[in-house]
Amino acid sequence: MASLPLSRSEVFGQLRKELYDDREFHQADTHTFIILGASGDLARKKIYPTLWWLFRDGLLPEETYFVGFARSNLTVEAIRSACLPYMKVADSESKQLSAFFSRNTYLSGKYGDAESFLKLGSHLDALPSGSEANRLFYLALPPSVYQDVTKNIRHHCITRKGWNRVIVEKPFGRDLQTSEELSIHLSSLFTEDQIYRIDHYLGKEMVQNLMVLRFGNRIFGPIWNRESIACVVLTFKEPFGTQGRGGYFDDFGIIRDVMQNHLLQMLSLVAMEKPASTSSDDVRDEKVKVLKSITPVSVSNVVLGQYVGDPEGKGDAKLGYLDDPTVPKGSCTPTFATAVLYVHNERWDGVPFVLRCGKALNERKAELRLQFTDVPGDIFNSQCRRNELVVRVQPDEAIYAKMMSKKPGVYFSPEETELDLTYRSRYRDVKLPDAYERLILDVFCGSQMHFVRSDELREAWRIFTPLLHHIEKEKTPPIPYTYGSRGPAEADQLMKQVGFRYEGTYKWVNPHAV
Amino acid sequence: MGSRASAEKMSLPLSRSEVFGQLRKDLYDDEEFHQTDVHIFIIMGASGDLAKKKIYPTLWWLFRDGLLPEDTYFVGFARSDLTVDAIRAACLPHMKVGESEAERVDAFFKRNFYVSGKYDDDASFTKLHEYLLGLPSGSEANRLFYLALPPSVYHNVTKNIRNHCMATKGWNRVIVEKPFGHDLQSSEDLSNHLSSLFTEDQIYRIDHYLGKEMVQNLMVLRFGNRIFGPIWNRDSIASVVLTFKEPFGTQGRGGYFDEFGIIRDVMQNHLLQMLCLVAMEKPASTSSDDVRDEKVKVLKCISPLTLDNAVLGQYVGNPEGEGDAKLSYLDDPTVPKGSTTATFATAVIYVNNERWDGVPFILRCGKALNERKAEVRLQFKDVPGDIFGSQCRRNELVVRVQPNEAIYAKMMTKKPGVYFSPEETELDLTYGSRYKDVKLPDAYERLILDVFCGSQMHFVRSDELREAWRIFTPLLHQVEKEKTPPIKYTYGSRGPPEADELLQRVGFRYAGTYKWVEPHRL
Repeated sequence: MASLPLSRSEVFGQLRKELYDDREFHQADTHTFIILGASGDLARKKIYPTLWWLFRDGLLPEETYFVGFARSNLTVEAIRSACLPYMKVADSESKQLSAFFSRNTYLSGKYGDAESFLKLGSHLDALPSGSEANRLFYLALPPSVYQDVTKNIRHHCITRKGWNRVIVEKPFGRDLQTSEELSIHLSSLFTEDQIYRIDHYLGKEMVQNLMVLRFGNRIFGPIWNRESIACVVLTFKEPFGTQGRGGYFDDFGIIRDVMQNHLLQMLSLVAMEKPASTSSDDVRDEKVKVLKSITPVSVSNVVLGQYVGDPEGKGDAKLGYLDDPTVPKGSCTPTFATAVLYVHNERWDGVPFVLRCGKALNERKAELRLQFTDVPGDIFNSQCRRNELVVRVQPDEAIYAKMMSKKPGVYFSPEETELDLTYRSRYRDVKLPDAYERLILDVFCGSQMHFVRSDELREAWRIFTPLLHHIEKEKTPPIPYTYGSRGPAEADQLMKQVGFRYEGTYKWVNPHAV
Repeated sequence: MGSRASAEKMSLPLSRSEVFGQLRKDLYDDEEFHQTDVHIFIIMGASGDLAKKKIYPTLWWLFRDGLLPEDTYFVGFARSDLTVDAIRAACLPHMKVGESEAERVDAFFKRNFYVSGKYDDDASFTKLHEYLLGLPSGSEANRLFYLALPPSVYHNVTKNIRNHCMATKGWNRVIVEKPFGHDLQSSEDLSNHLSSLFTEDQIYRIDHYLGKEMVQNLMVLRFGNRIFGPIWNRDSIASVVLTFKEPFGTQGRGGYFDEFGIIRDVMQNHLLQMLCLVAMEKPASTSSDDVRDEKVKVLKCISPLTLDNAVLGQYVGNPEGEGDAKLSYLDDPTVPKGSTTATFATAVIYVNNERWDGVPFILRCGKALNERKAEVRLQFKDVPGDIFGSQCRRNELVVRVQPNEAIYAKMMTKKPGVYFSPEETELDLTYGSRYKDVKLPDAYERLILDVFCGSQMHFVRSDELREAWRIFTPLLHQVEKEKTPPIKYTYGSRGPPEADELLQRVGFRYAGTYKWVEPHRL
C-alpha cells in the first residue's frame, strides 16, 4: 500500500498526524489563505512562491484557496507575473501552475478602512464552502499598519465556523517596550494559539533537528552540561554588505536583525531542559525557562563592529557600510556583534554562550558549536585538542563531531579528525524544504512549536534592550572591520577571554568531496 | 615562530634513520635506545610457512619503506640446508615487489644470511652466535630473535638462544608466536620456562590483533576524547559486542585447527584483548607496563566462563551452496572423524568492577559465516524519559576493525524534510574515504617495528596470558571432557540461532531497522 502514490490529502493527513497528532483538525477541510500585503516584496518573493511549492508538492489540503489583499488595484494575472521570476516553475508544471492561480483571487482595499475588510469578509464567505473554511491570515505588511489591519481582521474577517490563525512577521517591536505594546495589542484581539510569529530560523532543517539530536540520543545526554561543555558558540555570518539596502537595516542593526531572534532561538534549543512532551507549549515552556535564566547582556561582554571597504577588494567589497547611500551619514549602527551570555541554571552555570553575527565577513555560515572541556588527566602529552560537536545550519547542512583519533599508520599519537554526517552525501535524494514551506505547513497543521510565543519574545527583548538603549543613547562607535575579514580582532579576543579555545590546527573539509 | 621553519623541514624527505628516529620518539620517547644502532634480526624457523609468508615479506616492506634502522641485518636459521637465494625464491611470491623495486630487493637480500643447524644442538647455536659476531659491528649489535617455530621445539630453542646466542653489549629481544599453550597449565609451564631464561622486558608475545589500526586506536579514542569519557560505563552502556567473523571454513587445513578450536584460535586471544582495551581504566601513562597493568586488572575482574553463557557451533555444508560452501567441517579430510571441535562460539562475559558491573560483554567468533568482519560495538541504553513515542533506537558506537576500517556512531536524527520524527543515521569516519592516501601498515609491520623500538604495549605480558587462560580453561576442559556436541549451523549463515537468542537474553537489542552502508559510496 505504501508503494502506491498517496493523494495530496493523504500526504497532508500523514503530516498532520505526525505534526499535530491530528487533533483539533476540523473536518471542514476547506482552507483560505489570505495574504495581506499581496503587492509587497515579501509576498512576491517569498509567500506566493512558497504557497506554490507546497501546492505543487501536494502538501496542502485539497480544498485550499488563496486570497491576496493590498491597497493597489491589482489582478491575479498581475500578481502571477510579478511572482513568476521567484517561483522556479519547470516547463512541465504549467498545468499545475494554472491550477494554482485558478485558486487565487485578489481584492484591493485600504488597511485602515473597516469597509474594505467587510468587503474582504464577504469575499471570503463567497468562496466555495467559504463560510465554513478555516482562515489563515498572513501579515506581509510594514509595522506601521499592523494595528489597523489586525483590528480589522478581528472585527470583520474571522470565521465563526472554522478556525482562524494569524501569521506575523518581524519586526516584533524594536525593544521591550514597543514589543510589549504590540503583543498586548495582538492578545486583545487573538488568543495565543491563533498567533504564529515567524522566526524563519526555526524552520531550518538543522535547527529543527536539535531536539531529536539532543533528546533522541543516549550518547549526548550525559555530556550536555557544564561538566563537559566548555562553551557554546552560535554563529551567523554573511559574506556581503547591505548592497544599497542599508536604509532599512540601519533602523535595526545586526543585534535586532539576527542576534535577538535567530541566534537566541538556537541558544534556547541548545540549552533547554527536556520538555515533558514534544507538544508546542511544553517545548516553548522550556525555551522560556532558559531565557528567564539569562541576565541582560552587559556592554563589557559585547564587541560591536561596522564594516569598512577593503581597498584591495573587488566590487562591493570596496564599499564600507557608510558608503551605502541609503545609510544615514555617521551611523553608529553595528553590522557585526559578538556577545557572551550566561544561562544561570544548574546545567549551564559558568558556561559562556557566545553569539556571533555579522555582515560583510569572510564566509557564509550559520552553525552551532559545542566545545567540550579538556580531557582531565591527559595521558597524551597535551597533544589532544578539545572535542567539538558542530551542527552546521547553512550552507551544506551537516553534523560532525571533531575528535581525536590515532594518527593512521605506524604512529601512536593522537590527531584531529571527525565523525561526520553531511546531509548532501547521506541524503542525496532528499530535498530539504525551505524554512517558509515548513512553517506555513505548520500553521495549516496547527503546530506552534516552531513559532515564537509572546513570553519568549518578551524575555528575548528583556535580555537585549538595556544594551541596545545604552549604545543608542551613547552613540557608541562600533569598531571598524574590513569587508571580507573575520570581523574585529576584539571579538576573537573576547571569545578567548571567556574560554573558547581556537587552535587553528584543524579545518573541516567535507570528507565526501573528492 | 618556528612553525614555518619546521614546516619547511617536514617537506624535505627524511632519511631512513630520521624517520625511524621520529617513530621511535613517538613510540617510546626515545628512551633506552642504544646508540650502537646496529641490529640483527634472527628468524628461527626460516624455512617454514610463517617465515616465508609473513616474516620475510614484512621485513622487506619495513626495509623498503625505510622504517628500519640503517644498519640492520637479517639471519635465517633452520634445519634445512638452504641458501639466501632459495629463501628469496620461496618468499618472493608473498613479497609484492613492485617493478621499480628490483634494486631495493637486491639490497634487502644482500643484508640477509642463512645458517642451518639443529634446534636441540648446542653446537649449532654456538655456530650461529659466531656467525652473528662475524657480521659488521656484530659484537655490539642488538639482537631480535623471532621464533617462527612449532611449539614442540620452543623449549630447546629458547634455552639454546639464552645459553649461546645472547648479545653481551647490545640488547636481546625474543618474539614469540602463539600457541602459548592450550590451557592454563600448559601456558604456565611455557611462561615459567621463558621467564627462567629471559626477563619479561625481553619477551614479545605476538597477538597480531594488537597490531591492527583500529585496535591500536581504541586507546586514543577512549582517552583522547572528552565526549566519550562520561558515557563509557554501566550507566550509559547496555552491552558490548566483540565480533570476529570469517566467511570461509577450514579449506582442507582443519587438522591443525581441530587441535585448538575457535575459542583458543580467536576468542581467548584476539577478542579478549579487544575486550581489555574497551573495558580498562585509564592508565597512568601510555607506557607499556602502565597499559598492561590496566588490561590485567580487567581480566582479574572476570570470572571463568560457564557453559550456560556460551553457545558453541560447528558448520555443516550448505547443499545449495557453491564449491567449499557445500562442505561441512567434518568433510575436511584432515579433521578427525566425529570431531566436536567448535568452529563458532558466542560467549557472554561480565567484568565485575565498578564501571562495568552487570554489562554483558558478548564475544562472537566463527568460521564459515555470512560475512568477513571484525568489530567492536558498544550499544547504549535507551534514552530515559522518551518523548518521541518509542521511535528512538539505541545508539551504538561501532569500531570496525576489518575490513574497511571505520568508526561510526549510530544515532537518531530528525527525518530530513517536512517531518519531525526521529530516524536512524550515523556519524561516520570511514578510513577509506577520510584517509584516502594513507597506507595502513599491516599488523606484523607495526609489531615488528615495536620490537625494534622496544615498545611492549602491543604485546601480551605473562600475567595477561595467565588471566586469559584462567577465564577459558574450565569451559575448554569441560567441553573436551564431555565431548559436548556443538550446534550445527549452515555454511554461510549467521551461526546457530541459539547464539542470537543468547544475545537477546542478556540484553542486546537488534531492531533490524538499520543497516550501515558506507555513506561515501556513490
